[in-house]
Amino acid sequence: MTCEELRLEFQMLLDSGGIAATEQMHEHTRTCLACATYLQEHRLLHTQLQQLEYEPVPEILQNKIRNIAAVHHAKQKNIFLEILADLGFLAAAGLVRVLYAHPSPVNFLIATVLVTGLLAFFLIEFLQPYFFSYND
Amino acid sequence: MNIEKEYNALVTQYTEKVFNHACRILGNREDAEEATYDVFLRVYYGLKDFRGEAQLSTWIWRITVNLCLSRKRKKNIPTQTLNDDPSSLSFSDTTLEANPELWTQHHERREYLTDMISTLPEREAAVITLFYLEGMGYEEIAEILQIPSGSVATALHRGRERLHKLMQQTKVQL
Repeated sequence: MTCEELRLEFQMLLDSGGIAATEQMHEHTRTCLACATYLQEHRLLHTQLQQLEYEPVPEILQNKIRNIAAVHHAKQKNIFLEILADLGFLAAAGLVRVLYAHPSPVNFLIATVLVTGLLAFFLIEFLQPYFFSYND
Repeated sequence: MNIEKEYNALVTQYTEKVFNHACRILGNREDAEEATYDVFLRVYYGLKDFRGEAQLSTWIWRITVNLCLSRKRKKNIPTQTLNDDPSSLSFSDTTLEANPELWTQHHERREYLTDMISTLPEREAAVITLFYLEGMGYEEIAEILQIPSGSVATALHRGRERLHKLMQQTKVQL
């Protein structure tokens, strides 16, 4: 058995879970100090690699990962509300136009309420990003 | 099972594994934390399109391995080659002098080994981590990395040889 053969065979042995050298390997290492050292050091390295342990996951990261689904949900909900609000805005604007086209005290009152509502909606829409944000 | 429930089950099962794999490949916790978060973002958004062509675990591992590898390349984290000049060896957080006393003073052996794994070429680091930390076999690793199982064996042997040489070069007692 040559040095190269021994090293290759020993590597395969480690992969299959064994660390004990075969009789052929022992025979070779009796006369080859380099290979004897090689076997010893690789056996130790293999054992240490087997002893690698999990590091604990930081709690902040764990929460952040768990929140991915919740944030996604909130965003989806927000998009839906925005579309609904935009449709409402368009409908209200159309109604105001109709009311002003047929002037009467009642229509004027309804139109004024709607315009105030629309202005409030605009302000809230505009200011919302400054008050609400997602921590993602 | 709806996506949220499935996602939460995967988080419970894989967060630790993904984070630890990222730690080994990237060599520092900050990068590993970012990578882990990115992995789960992809998992969540990819879950509804997951067609079950591969096993769910294989799919998650593929995302993890690929993301860590691309992040490592982007960040240009140095890796060692077998022909490197021993004097040029450097590690992610500190350069160890060839002094076992200093080594015992500042590092646990295991941490040092972890540091060294992260300096291996990406494929070797990935194979070593999947083989030793996750206890996977050739076939499973081959499926995740999408390479022949013979290449897994080669990467594993080379990785071990490289670790051995790195330890010898830095005179760390095994």
